[in-house]
Amino acid sequence: METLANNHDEISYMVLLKKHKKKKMFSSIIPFMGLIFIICFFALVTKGNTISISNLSNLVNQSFTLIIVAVAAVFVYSHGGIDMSVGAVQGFVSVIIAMVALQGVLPGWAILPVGILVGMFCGFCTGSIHVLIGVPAFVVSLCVNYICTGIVASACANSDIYLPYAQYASWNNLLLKGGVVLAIIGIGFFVFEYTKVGKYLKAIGGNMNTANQSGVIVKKYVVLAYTILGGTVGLIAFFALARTGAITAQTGSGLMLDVLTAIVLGGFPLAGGAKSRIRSAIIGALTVTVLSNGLTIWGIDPNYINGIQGILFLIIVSVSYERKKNEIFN
Amino acid sequence: MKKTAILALFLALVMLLGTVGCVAPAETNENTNQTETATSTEPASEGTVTESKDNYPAASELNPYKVGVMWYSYSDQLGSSIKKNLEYLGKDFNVEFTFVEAYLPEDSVAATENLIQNGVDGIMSLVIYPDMIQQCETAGVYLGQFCNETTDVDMLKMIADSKYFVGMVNENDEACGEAMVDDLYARGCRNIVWLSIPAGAASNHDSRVRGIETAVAKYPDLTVLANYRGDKMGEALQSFAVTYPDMDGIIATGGSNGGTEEFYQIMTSEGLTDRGVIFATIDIGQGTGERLASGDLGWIGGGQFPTSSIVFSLLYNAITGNKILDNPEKALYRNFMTLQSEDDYNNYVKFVEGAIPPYTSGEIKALIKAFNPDASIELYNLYNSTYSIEDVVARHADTIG
Repeated sequence: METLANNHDEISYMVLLKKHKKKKMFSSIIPFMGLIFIICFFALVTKGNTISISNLSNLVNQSFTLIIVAVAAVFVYSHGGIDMSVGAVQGFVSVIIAMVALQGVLPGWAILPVGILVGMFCGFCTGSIHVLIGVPAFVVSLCVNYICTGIVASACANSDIYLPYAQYASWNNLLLKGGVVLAIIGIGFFVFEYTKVGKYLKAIGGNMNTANQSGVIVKKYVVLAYTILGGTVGLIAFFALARTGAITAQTGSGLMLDVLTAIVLGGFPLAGGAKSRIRSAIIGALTVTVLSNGLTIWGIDPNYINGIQGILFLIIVSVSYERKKNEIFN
Repeated sequence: MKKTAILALFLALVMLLGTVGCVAPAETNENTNQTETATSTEPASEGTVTESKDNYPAASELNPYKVGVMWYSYSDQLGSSIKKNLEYLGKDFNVEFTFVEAYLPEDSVAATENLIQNGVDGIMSLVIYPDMIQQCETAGVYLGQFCNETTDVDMLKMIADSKYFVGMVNENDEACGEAMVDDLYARGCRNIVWLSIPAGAASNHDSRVRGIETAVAKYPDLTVLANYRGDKMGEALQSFAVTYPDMDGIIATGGSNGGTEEFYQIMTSEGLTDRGVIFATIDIGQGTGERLASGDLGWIGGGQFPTSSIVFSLLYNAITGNKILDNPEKALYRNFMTLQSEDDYNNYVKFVEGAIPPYTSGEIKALIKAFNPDASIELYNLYNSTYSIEDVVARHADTIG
């Protein structure tokens, strides 16, 4: 029976729904607006230098690693996982690739799959130990990080490792790398948004028990997520080595933090779940790259760069971060 | 609540823009601390560099250039000294420096791209990777390495073949490692320990360790009780203090970023100063004067930051059409500045860390062929081989007083 109370509840519901939709839209476009803002800002202060053709090609090169790893990291973060070992795995894979390359037996196109397979192996180990033994992913990945770091440090103890630069310089090709990035984004987007892999990972991130009881083989998809991430780390390790020509004991050491920054800066929910989006990773990765590129070209004192990055990070995250997990509407 | 959120966001943006505005690159900056005039420099008969009063062009008469500087961090003592030193030179040479923190291979390659995009005429860097040389070749930007050297054979070939690589200037780290052992041995130490950062983390520390090992081999009656290579040198020293009661000498290959001060503290807290243990290290920190006076500290090396001036002059020569080194794949070596008494330390504070750096802009202009036709590799070698606290005092005693 229709009553005044019923009408009142319906009106409140509609008001709440409208408010929530506005907030959701606002939160989802803030990271994108942040990216547009800093692109425009740096274009202004550098008199167009940052949006010149030459710098755009620099940005493709500089964002290559971070975009690819961030897209793959979505698979891990969407189910509520974390991987502290991505940087160390990059270093480890780089050492393996260099050892194979310096033997001179395999051509470059055959060495690339070696890197991907080694990376997948590392990711598989991390995921498997996490699900089979039940050790938290943070701890397992940290242990893998230490193991790989130790191996890289031992390999580089006497000197840095150099690859015959001219032999692999052709892999440092802008068109090739641009194509690889677009391919990874396309494949990642399709798999995450339109296949059960992505849907199940989001479901696990939303509520693992519910996903389990709904028939999702949680362990299988968690291991798959880490394996995917490991494989892409192997991929970028090859291209990074072709670009730099050298491995040091600290190769890859900043990657984990950069990926985490990119993910969060893009508005990705750290706890994972249904609101996980590939686009967050891409926007975040581009934001990190454009920021670093722009501040250097503008000539900002390096002592202030970290502070500026931190403030920007705080602004974007505080506006776009989802505080409540148990909101009425999802 | 919504209005509060919007206001908070607006205030944060204002704060950000204000911060960015405050630290935007300065166009000009007046220097009120410099009292010296442009000078020329020529070798004295006894082999030290002296000054005579000639006039080199002032900054306003010089073409403006831009130089990028890549270093691992400008927040530690060495990095901040390098930055301050180069900013001082920049004013008198009409050179704008862009400082970038980069050390890892990918970061260094990206930083090189960004600096080239910034429009620099030259880059000086702690580390060199193949793609950096390639990029500089393509862009026509000169490249030099300082406080480090490249040793890989293929890299050296790339350097030798490149017309844009100006040279490497490095401190003689192996000799420094040997000198520390020699000094402790001369002071009667026979049971020593040495500590360093992880192997491969920094090539100059690896060179110092090689020097230590070479020198130890010279003395059959010298025992290395233990050594440590890792990130926790302080904790390792505390363990050695307890484990080796007959330890009488300690060598640490570096102590930047508060490391030297930490060692001093541990020497006291673990009773090592009471036991007469003598310490030798690199990177001059707070409390060095007192430690030298008390005898706890036998030898300390430092004062590396003027190496940046030497590489800057190599770059400037190349930019102005006078590349000095025909074979840049061979590094130029410089002395460390070594302090062994409280007087040395007092002179260091006055003459090295004061307003006037160890090499004035006039003394660096003397290395520029466009200003001084006598500038040559021999003059560079003189500068490098005579560098010491006595040398700086002799050159600047009249100016600083």
